[in-house]
Amino acid sequence: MNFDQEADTPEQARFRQEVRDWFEVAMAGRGDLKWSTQWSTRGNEAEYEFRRDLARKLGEKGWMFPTVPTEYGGGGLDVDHQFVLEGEIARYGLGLSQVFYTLARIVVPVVNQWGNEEQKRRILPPLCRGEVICWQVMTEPQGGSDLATLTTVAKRVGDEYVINGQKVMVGSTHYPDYLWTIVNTNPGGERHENVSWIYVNARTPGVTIQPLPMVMGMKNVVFFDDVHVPVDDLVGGENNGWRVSTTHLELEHDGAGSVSGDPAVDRLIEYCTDNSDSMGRLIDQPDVRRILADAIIDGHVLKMLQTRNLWFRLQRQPVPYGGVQTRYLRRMIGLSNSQRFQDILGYAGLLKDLSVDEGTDFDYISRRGPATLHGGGTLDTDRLQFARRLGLGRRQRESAPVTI
Amino acid sequence: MDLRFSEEQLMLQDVVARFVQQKAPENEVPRWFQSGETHRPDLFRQAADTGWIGMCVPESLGGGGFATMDAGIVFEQFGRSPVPGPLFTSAVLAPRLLEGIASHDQQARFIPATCKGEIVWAVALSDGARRFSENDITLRAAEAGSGVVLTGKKQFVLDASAADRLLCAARSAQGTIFLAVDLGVDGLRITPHEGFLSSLYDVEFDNVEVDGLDVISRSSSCWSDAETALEITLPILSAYKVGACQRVFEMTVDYTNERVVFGQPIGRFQRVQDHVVELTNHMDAARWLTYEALWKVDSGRDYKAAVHEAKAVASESYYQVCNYANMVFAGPGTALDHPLVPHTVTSRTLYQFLGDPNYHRGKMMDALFPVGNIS
Repeated sequence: MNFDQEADTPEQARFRQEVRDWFEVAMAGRGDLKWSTQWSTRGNEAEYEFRRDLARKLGEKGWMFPTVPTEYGGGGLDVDHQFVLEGEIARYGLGLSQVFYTLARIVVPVVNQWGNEEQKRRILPPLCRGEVICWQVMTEPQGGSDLATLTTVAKRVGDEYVINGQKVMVGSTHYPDYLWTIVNTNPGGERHENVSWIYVNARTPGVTIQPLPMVMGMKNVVFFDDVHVPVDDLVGGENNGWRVSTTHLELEHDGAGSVSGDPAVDRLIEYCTDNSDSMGRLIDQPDVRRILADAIIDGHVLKMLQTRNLWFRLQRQPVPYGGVQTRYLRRMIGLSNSQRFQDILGYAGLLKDLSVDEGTDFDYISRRGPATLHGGGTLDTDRLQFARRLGLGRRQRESAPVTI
Repeated sequence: MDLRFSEEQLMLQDVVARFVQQKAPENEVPRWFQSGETHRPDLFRQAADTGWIGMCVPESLGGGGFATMDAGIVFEQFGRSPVPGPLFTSAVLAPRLLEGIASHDQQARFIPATCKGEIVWAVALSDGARRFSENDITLRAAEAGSGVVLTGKKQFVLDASAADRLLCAARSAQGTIFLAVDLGVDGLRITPHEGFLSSLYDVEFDNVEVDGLDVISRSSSCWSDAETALEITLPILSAYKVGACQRVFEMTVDYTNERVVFGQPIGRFQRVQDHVVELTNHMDAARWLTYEALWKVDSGRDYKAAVHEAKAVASESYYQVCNYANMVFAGPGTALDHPLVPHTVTSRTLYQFLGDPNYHRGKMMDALFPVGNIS
């Protein structure tokens, strides 16, 4: 075993130097992004523009999706290169798949696996190059965790599908270019055998997007009113969507893995080091140290398990329950931390501070706890999936799909 | 980065796994716990003959010179049954402490014999029931010539009845001293503690004379030297707990498929699934922090915070893994001949051994953020 992320092969060492030099130029003067692991929901336009631009530059080099073939807009590189890129971008607190708000991290592997040749050549390059914003559009008001109850219907009429329905709690603050959505293509058909994935140009007439402010930030409602979409934009086969979902959901459920940690606890440590009260420096106080120790250990465990997920995924031997495990833990730890931060900081743990990135803002950390327990499935569906992957009460253990 | 064991390590793992299955089958181990015969001289002898006692000791002192990670692999397999007895204290802890604080002559006298399996060790540092601390040493040592006379007792000594020698700390007029006491001498009484614990003993000393040659250290820093020396043994002990968690996990998952109530395997019930999910999370936390800590020791990194963190998490995890397994097994898991019972008892016993999780969380924090350190 070797836990050194920079224990490189000669080719990795050469590539790491190239990537590190490149980032030094690209990130010059933007040390503030050190704190930014996630998509800001605050509408900070300067930061957003910087991130979009960074994504385009990374995309031009094929580094957003290093293992995707060059003809589809990727880097045509191998997993060793991807591991280097993940590590180097993590030095700036960013994740390769989260440079700006787009769901390409999920849509690209899904289309790469399930799309036909024409679709891959057409759909993938703009996504891989960071040129377009794509939202995943799945949840319906009546559905929630029961995704298969889809009532958004796509009816085949000639060479087009005509979509009608409504999706909720999707997207972010910037208007999308494309919607990656799952629809019912056979309303009378058998459950799970009647759904399909379709890639919709968000500017098609009949698409209406309405902001939906929520505790953790801005989401949206998407209405489809007689939206005409070419049949060529249906990916993975009509009524085959449930099988396509296995790839989609593995990635949605944290199966990708990561080497980027959560900077929130780092900021808490910094705060406790810099601030004192009548009992002295916060970080020297026994009760603070006990709470901090728990937060540090939880953060370390989560990072180790996410690193494990990434590493084994890149070996094409994904940990069967790894994704749902880290997703469940990430959310539970986020919830614990919202209380730990308040236990240490008191009212200050609830205050907004626009001078730091959202990911390390105490206001956001305290909201994130209770308000992000559900995106893409609840804690309970996570545990259901976890149990299937462990093979509980089943003859066969469900495996994880290869997503690279 | 490489998160897999090497081919050689997998072979070692396989050899130890077969040894454990043959010598400590988990359907027999509960009887050993019931009778208190947790030291198996035959098993110990064979482990020594195979080279697993003193495997981490340098070859110059008669050991195997193996990496800490390899010792972790061996002890992970020992944890599965769990194999009880003075393996950890004799194979890892005592030799390491002797290396850290004993004179060269004493090392030459004790360590090669230990590696051959000729000296079985118990180790008794702090005496408090709850606190692992130099301040809680109660055994008194009075100077007598070049040696000392011991009065009082060491409490909660793991496997004392199996050991030939006791490596222990005592309080003298000058401060803490360390001794390697021959447990066969007169004036010494060893009595087992009764309770929900295993293989813990009181060792009472009634004016026991100890020769100067057996006084291991009188240095004013001997306690902190010993604490520092034993740090690299912590992830090996944690690996034992990881192996134990893994085995409890396996038996629990199997049981969710075999046990049918209300017309279906209990693994179909979401409440039962939740117990196994939490069990798995604790197991994996212990596993990966332990492996990383072992790697840090071997690769020359700063390991201080990591080994204490691994010990805290592995102790907590083993405890919780047994709790969740008990929720799934219910009644049958509490019958004294059930393989879960030795695990549940051991998880409690080892929770305190060399300091409880709170103690090690504190040591981790002290390593990361020394109090009053304005940098």
